[in-house]
Formats: sequence, C-alpha cells, structure tokens
Amino acid sequence: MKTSQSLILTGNHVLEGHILYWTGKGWDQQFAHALVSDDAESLEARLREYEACNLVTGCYLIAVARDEYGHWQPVKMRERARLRGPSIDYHNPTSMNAESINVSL
Amino acid sequence: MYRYDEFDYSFVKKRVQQFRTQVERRLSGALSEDEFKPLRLMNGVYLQLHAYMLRIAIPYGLFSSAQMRTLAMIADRYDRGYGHITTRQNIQFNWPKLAEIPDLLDDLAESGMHAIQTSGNCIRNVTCDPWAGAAADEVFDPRPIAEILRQWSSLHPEFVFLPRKFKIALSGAKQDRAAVYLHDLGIYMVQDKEGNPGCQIVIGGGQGRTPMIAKTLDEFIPQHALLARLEAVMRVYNRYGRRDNKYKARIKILVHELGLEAFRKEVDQEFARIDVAACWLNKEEEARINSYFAPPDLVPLPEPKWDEDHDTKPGFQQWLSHNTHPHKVAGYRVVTISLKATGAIPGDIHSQQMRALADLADRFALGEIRATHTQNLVLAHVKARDLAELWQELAASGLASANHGLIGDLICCPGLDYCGLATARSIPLAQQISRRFGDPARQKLIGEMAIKISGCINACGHHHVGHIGILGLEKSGQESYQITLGGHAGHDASIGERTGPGFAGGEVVDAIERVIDRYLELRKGSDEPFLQTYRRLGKEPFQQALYQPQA
Repeated sequence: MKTSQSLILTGNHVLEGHILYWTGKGWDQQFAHALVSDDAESLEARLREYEACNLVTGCYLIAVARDEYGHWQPVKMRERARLRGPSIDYHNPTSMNAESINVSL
Repeated sequence: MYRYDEFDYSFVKKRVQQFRTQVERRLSGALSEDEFKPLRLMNGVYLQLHAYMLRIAIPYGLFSSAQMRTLAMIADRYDRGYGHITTRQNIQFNWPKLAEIPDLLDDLAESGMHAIQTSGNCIRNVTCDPWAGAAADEVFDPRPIAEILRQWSSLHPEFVFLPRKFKIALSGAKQDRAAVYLHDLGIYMVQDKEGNPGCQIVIGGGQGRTPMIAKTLDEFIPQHALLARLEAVMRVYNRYGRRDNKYKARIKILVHELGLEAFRKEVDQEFARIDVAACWLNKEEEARINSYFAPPDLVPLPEPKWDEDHDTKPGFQQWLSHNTHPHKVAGYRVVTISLKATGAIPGDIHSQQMRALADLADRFALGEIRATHTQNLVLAHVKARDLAELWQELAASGLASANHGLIGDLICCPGLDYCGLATARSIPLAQQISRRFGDPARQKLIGEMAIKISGCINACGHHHVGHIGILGLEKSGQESYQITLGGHAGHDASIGERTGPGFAGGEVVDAIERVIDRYLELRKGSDEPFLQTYRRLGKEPFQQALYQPQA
C-alpha cells in the first residue's frame, strides 16, 4: 500500500552489529544507497523476511524527507543521531570535543 | 574480596558454553531474533543505537587489579580500547561483535567475571557503598550480605521472570553513598539496642518516569532472617506486580498503589509461611563468606605531615582535600579516582588507564579497586604517606582530577550518542559543563555540587536526585533539556523539582551558570552547600535566575 510518507528499511548486521540499509537488492552500510519508497507494505514484507533470517536484526522502517539540498534525511532526531554515529570523540581519553552539543541533529 | 569457588567457576563456564551454542544457532539461522533476543539479554548483550553493547557485572562494585587487566585486554581485543563505568557500578563495552562475545565471556569467566543478570526482568547486580570495609563512618561492612544476596539472587528459580527488573543497594555507613533510597529495595546495615547486627529494609524507591523515595518496610530485621524476608517481598511482588503495563510494573508502583501498610501485611503473611532458619546459611558457609571480607591487616600509622614546600605541587592539596577520605585505620585513606577530567566523557576509562590503575592498586591498595555509582573508581586502603606518590602516578595517566563531589564530578548516561532509548544527547552537555566550570579554584569556591544528566525519562543518569538535574528530551525534532533543582540521593533523599520550560542544547550551560551565580550570592557563608541553600530558600530565586530575561 502506498503512503504519503517516504520510508527506508534499516536494521543491524547480526554478526558485526553495525547499521545496514535496504537498497532494494540487498543490504548496504551506506545510507545514500538506501531504497526510498512510499510502499510501506512491500518494505514491511522485506522486514518480516529478514527478521526471520540470520543476516540482519532489529529491522524497522524510518521516515525520511528531502533536506534543503534535496538529499534524503531521517525525519526523527533519533534516526539522524543513529545515522551520524556518536557525536563525541570517544577515542580520546580526555576528550575536549565539548562544542558538539551545538551541532544540530 | 570474594573469589569464585569451584561451583561458581564451573557454573559460569557452562553458561558461556551454552551461550556459545546459542550464538552459533543464531548465526546458522536455527534461532530467529525473537527466539535469540531473550537469551542474549540474559547474558548482558544489548542491541544499542549503533551496535551491540555488553554490560559486565561488577558485583557490588568490587574487583581486583587482575580483573581490571582482563577488562583492559577485552577493551583492546574485542572493543575499541575503552570501557564505560555505569551508574550501577557495572562496566559496559559499546562495540563488541556478536560472533566474538562467547570468546570474550570465556576470557571474563577465567578472571572470575560474567555478564549474567545485567539485563532482563530479574534481580540485577547488587550495588553497595564503594567505601565498604574502609570508611571511617562505617557501622557494619555490607559486603558479606551483598555477596550472600548475589549468590541468593543468581538464577533464583522463582525470581528470574519478575514483572520487571529489580535493583538492590546496601549501605552500612552513616553517610549513604549507594543511593539506597532510590532502589526497588534498599538495605541499611544497622544494630538493635543490644548491638545485634540486622537490616533496615526500605522498599519501593526508584527513578524513571515515576521517581519515588523508598519507604521503610522494616526498621530492623535480624541478619539471619534477611533472606526469608526478601523471599517474602519478592513473592508478593511476583504475585501482584503489574505485568500488563511495563510502565507500572516496578515494585514502587505496587507499593504506592497498595499502600505501605497493605503491602507490609502481604509480606508478613508470606513471611509467616516461610521457614526462616532454612533460608539462611549454615554457620560454616556464613563464616566462609565473611572470611573473604575480613578487614585487611593494616598496622596503624602516624599521619604524615604534609610539607608545604615538597607536597604542595599544583593540584595536590586540592586532590588531597576532595578525593581522599578518612579510613577506619589511622594513617590510611580511601581514595576516589575521578573519571571526570575536564571535558572528558564521564565514566569512560581507556585500556592504558585501566592497566595503569591496576598497577597502582597493586602498589598502593592491596590490589583492590571499586566502581562507584557516580562513575568513578576507588582505591580503598591507601597509606596516607603514599598519597603524594600515588597522586603523581595518577596524574601521569590523566586520573588525578581533584573534583570528587564538586561541580566537575557530574554523572550522565550514554544518551543519544549510544543508547537506543535516548531522546537527547547527554555526554556532550556533560563535557561542556565540565569545561565551563573547569577552573579548580572556581570548583572549590562553589563547593559540594551534584549535577546529573539523563538523556531520557528512564533516568539512568539519576537526574531526579541531582542537586541540579538535567533531563534531555526531543521537542519538535530538536533536543530540549528540562532542569530540576534540589534533588539528593543520601539518607535525606529528595526528588528534584521541575523549574519550567526546557532549554535548547546551546542554552543549558549558561542557564546552569546563572543558577550557580545566584547560589553564590545567596549562600550563608562559604560553607553552606548548594543543597542547604536551596532547601532554606526554595525554588523561586533559582527559578528566577534560570528564566530571567536574557540581554
């Protein structure tokens, strides 16, 4: 069923844990390669298919919209944070990256 | 400290072997995620925002230098070189790969550690005063009881599928350093008029979306009746706790809805059916457990005279004053290692720091380390005459921040930088506050202060009991931070009061600074702490400072 909402199917790699996006043909770590679709029913069918397999886990759909540059971006802040990864410099024992709070999600 | 016996060792090893085959079946497709998820959670494996996360139990926050070295090895071999001390005295690793977790757990088991019951609706890792067995203000050492509770609650067949998770904390000292009143069940080690050891039991505390301070269920339960009493409490909770609504399933809601008297009546009826003596340990077993926590053989020493010329290197005196505390034995100190360097991520510790600290624990503190619920570490038995040398060594590893109990010693949850449940980031805000108030002289001037930050309503960052609490939420697609004031986690615990509308991320630090400046104006002398000033004057003057029109 078509919806007015543009959607992407995402999940995590079972073995490695990292984030994956459904491209329409397979799974990819690049958000830019994700299939954007308004066919929620079809994506949900894929979701159920992959939840039952041993490749991807924690699958769900995320809403996306075009930003001012015409690029797809997740609508929700949580998904934007997930896409960008930690905003902190966790490799540095005394991280001084204190201004990241001013980086808009 | 407690050491695994043959039973513990073989049990944990068998559990790892079970998990290894469960992972293999998941990876072969024989187990679906629905089938596998409860199994991985029982072994502390979460799926977070970006990756898996493994939460490892540190029973009552106590571990050895050898275990710290194992954690350092795990950080390097299986993760990204660091770990994170949690607000429940555990340690988390944020990037393990599922296929490697069985090997990781095997390495942990070799070191006498595991991740069992660090998730799920069971009795979680029991927490306790991190200064236990050392602090000068201690009445009874709570660790033997904590260990007995650990053994009792580990895979207790009646209590592995509770309505919701269940957290227990213990303290045996005059000062509560374990947030006992904010737990599902809290225990204060006390004595009756004849001096017999026993427990005051408090029930129904907690934070989350419905913060509550625990109420006293029993003023005094003799020690030998403790397990029977807890069995009765758990049975009542198991029977009546709400399983229909996750948000009403904690015991605090049951106690609140039933009322304390009715709850106690139910517990009393259940207690009357239990064979109290059969629930307790035999004398030999009790003595065996107690022996692991026998006070170390410390010879009292004269207090050193700090030489103003030689021992007052920049920072040492402030560290001595804030990060070392009186010990039971003359000439010794309890030392808090702050994991809150200016601008650092609260609670994070890197593998090289872990190894350095393990070496220092061996040299200066009988090879023992404790994790605190305020995301710091403790060396409990340090000779006062060694402090200057220890401080220098700590400084070389970036571990000598002299801010314990001060504004820089803030705690925060992982927030939206890691956590799948979070609604806003908390770590970058903690870093920014830490930097704004980084000047040691300013921290000293402000004095005792507890800022606590949570990135969602679940309150892992204990914001409800922060003198200044910060709760991160999402509002119209942006991060918004609510500020509460006057919270406290001690014997005189209080829940912070909401002040008004939330602040955007970039506004919070200025708002905090206005509260601090107002406090400095209003306090009665330099020794009146913020909490006391707040309790004396109430919310209004601070609320005005927060929301005053900005130029």
